[in-house]
Amino acid sequence: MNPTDKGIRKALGSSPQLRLPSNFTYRTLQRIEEEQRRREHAQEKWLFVAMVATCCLMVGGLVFAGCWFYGESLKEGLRHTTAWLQLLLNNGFTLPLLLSLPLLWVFNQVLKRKFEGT
Amino acid sequence: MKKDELHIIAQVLGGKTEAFSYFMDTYGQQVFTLIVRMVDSEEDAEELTQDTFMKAFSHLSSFCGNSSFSTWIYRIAYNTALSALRKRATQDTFTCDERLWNQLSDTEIDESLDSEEESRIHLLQRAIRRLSPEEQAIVTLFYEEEKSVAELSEILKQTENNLKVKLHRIRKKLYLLMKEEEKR
Repeated sequence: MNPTDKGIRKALGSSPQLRLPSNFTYRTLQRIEEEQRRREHAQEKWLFVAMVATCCLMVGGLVFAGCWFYGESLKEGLRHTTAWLQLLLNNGFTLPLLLSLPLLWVFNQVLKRKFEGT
Repeated sequence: MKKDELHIIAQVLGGKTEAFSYFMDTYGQQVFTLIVRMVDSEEDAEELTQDTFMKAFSHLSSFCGNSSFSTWIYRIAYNTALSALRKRATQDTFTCDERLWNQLSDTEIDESLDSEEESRIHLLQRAIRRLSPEEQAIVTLFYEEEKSVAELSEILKQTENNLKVKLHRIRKKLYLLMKEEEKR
C-alpha cells in the first residue's frame, strides 16, 4: 500500500464532520449511574433472597437434626408440658391469675394518682 | 498507556464514577466518527457510542493496560457497531470481474489515490461511502486516526498480514468505485 495516499486522507478530512452533542458526557454518565443503581438494587435483592433461603435451610436443618437425634426426648417433653398445662387448667390456676391482672392494673393506677404530687 | 489514565481508571474502579467523564471527553468524538462511518446513521451512531462507553465502564476492571485505552475503546466500538449491523438487513455488495481486478495497474491506482484535485476528492468521498462497514473502519482508523497496522491488528483482532492485504484490496476497490462514480 502507498503510505501517502494524500487523496484518501484529504477526502476523509474534508468530508462533513458530524459532532457529538455537547451534553453527551452528561447523558452517558447519567445512564451509567442509573445502570449502577439498578445493579446494586438487583444485587441487594439477591442477597436478601439468599439470606432468607439460608435461614430457612438452617432452621429446617436444625429441626431435622433435632428430630433425628432427640425425637423421642422431644416427644416425651412435649407430652409432659401438655400434661402440666392440663393440670394447671384443671386446678383452676389460670382463671384467678387472669382475673388478678386487671385488678393489679387498677390498683396501680389508684396508687399512681394518689402519690403523683409527692 | 498514559500514566494519568491508569490513575483515572483506578479512581473510577474505586467508586468515583464521574472521573470516567475524562474518557468520554477525550475519546468520545473519535469513537463517534468511527461508528458513524460504519453504520451511516447519526442517530444510531450516537446511541452506539453511548453503548460503547457503557460497555467500557462495565468491563473497566478487565482492562489490564497492556494496550492503550484508545485501542481498547476502539475495539469495543468496532464490535458494538458490527453487532448492530448484523441485526440490520444486508447491504448492497460490490462485485467485480476477477480478470479486470487482476489487470489493474498499481501506478494508476497510486496516482489516482494520491491526487488532491477537487474533482477527484469529491469522487473519492462518494467511493468511500460505498465501502463495507469493515472497510470503512479500516480506512478511518488507518488514514484518519493514523493508527499503525500493528494497532489496527489489535483493534480488529486480525493479523497484520491480513490487514495489509485488506488495505491493498480497499485501495483497488476505491479506484474502481471512483471509476464507477465518474461514469454516473
